[in-house]
Amino acid sequence: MDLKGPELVPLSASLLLAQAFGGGRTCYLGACSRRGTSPFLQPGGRTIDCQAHGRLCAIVFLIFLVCPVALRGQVSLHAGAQGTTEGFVVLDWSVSAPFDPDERLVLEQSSSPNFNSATAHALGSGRIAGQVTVTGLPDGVYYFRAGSPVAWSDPVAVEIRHHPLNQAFFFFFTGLVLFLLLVGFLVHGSRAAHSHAMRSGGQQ
Amino acid sequence: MTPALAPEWALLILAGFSVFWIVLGYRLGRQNRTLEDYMLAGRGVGLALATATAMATWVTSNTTMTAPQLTYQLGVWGMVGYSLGAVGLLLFAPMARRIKALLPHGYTSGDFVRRRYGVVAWRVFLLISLFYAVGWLVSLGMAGGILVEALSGLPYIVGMTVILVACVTYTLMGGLRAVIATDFVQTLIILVGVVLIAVLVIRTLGFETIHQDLVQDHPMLLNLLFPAAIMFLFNNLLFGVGEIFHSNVWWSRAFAFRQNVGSKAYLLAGLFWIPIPIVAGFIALAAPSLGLVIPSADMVGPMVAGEVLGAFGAVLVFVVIFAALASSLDSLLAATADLITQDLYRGHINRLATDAQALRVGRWIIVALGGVTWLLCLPRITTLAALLHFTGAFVASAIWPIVFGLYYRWATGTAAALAMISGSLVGLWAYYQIGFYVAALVSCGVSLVVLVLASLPAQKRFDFTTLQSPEGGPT
Repeated sequence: MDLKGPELVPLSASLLLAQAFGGGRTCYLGACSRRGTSPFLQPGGRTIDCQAHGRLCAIVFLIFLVCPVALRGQVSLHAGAQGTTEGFVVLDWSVSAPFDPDERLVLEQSSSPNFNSATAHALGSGRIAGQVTVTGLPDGVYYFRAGSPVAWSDPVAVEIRHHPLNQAFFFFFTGLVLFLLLVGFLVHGSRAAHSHAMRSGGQQ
Repeated sequence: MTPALAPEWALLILAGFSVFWIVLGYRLGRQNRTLEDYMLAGRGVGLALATATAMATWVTSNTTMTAPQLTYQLGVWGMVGYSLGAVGLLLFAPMARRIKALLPHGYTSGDFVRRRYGVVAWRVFLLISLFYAVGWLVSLGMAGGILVEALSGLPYIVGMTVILVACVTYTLMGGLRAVIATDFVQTLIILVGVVLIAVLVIRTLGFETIHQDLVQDHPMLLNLLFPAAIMFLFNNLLFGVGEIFHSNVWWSRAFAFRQNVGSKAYLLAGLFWIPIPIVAGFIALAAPSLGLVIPSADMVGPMVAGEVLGAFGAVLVFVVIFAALASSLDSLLAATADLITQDLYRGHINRLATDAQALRVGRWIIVALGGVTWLLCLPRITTLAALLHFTGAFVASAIWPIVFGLYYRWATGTAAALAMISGSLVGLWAYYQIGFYVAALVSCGVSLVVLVLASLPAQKRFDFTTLQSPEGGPT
């Protein structure tokens, strides 16, 4: 396993559990290390050799369960089905409570699955769930993930495929014809009613 | 995100304006003596008030909140398409004169459909009209809640409830006279406020920044070949036409305005209305430049204004949208209550009801409508635009029955009923199969074909003079 940087941090409980009880060689504790909540920190480093400390790792796992900061990894993100033919997507995000209310969450958007040159949208802090509507997207596949640089949700892929232009123009010209007919019938009807009223001396 | 407006300020504004509208409604309501005074403001509304009420009613939450939403979703064509909603008012101008001349004793749009087409078409029309009215009422109530939530962080239910209660109360007290008078004040607030907000947004951000950010991250919003937006253009035009042509909100005003005032008032209101969705929609394009995360597209307008203009802007937006909401909500409550009183109560339940009984029942109906709207607003089932355009499938089916019914003798009642039913059903199919931006267009097209084809075999020609008497026409 070769995790580096931010990807090191979003530990899943199952991974840690497997490593703790399965004799795995390495535990990744970056999530706790930033807040100094782990007693097993290695100054300057982010990993601890656990080969001879299986029980110790189990304790770490229990601490992980009750440590709010450790829950950073449980950000979920879902995309609604609507809008994909209109170039927009509605994303629902949530964080499994409890979590650090000061944590600043962002939504990253990229056209590449590894989030190169991603655009970030700030989701703010102090909330455990919300919705984001991203609009104006051309055809293509877009990848989204929510969280913070130390804990991302699973990426969500959304394919935007606009309606065909010939279909759009069909409706446009149908609408134009209906509008012209409407104006034509109204003008003709008004004139006919007016001349009829003039003949009969009425108000029209 | 920190709310742009402190919750206490939001509550203060809500309370202040609510009291103001209610006091105004109470004072004006004291002048009402008869059912005609209450329902049609004595049939003597002059040009200035007539223009103001037509415009204020058409500047709704849909203009001030849905126009930004559609701009945020459909880009430049979204705001241009929304402004085509003015065409409905412009085309209704000559119709208002015709309506007043044909039915000098009419009360509601239902009166016309019943006497022109008979009972079957009338009942179909009532269903469509009431469904639309409830849909519009719910969208207005929802907009109130969303507005308050977006600007102040107060729970959705608070804003929704306060605005509904205030509008129900003053409409109840003052009838159409109060509605028209408050509309006049609200029009002034809306016009000044919207222009001020747009100027402040442009001065704060500048066109260039907004343009660059859109090109980079939201290019489709500037793309003139945006397929859904292209489809939306004439759909929205026809939707607006359908709303205005069939709705008793506009018919009751045609009856209430003085002779020869209606056509001028609707023409002026339409012309004044055209730039408002453009201005309101434009501010949505500033959202990306501000780095705003928009939870739901219908919140974009208030959020941008609140972010750019700070507390002052938030207050301004709050007041403007509150005025816009109230001006439409009161009109719709009054007109829908009239329709239910005249067409359901007097038409179906108690045909021998006196004016005094109808007046009493009408007041209860306003309260009941407010209650039903509140209940339907609670779940906040969808966005404003989606809810509004859902009704497009229904109202656009009534365009041709109204136009042909007013001007042409050959259109028959059976054909009108079939046209409205088939147009609504196929329009709904299009709503779900293609999108909200084609529902009205499809409905209108189908309704035209069915109405013409079904009327062809008929030999009988309608006699318009039968509409002149207080009662008559087919039953």
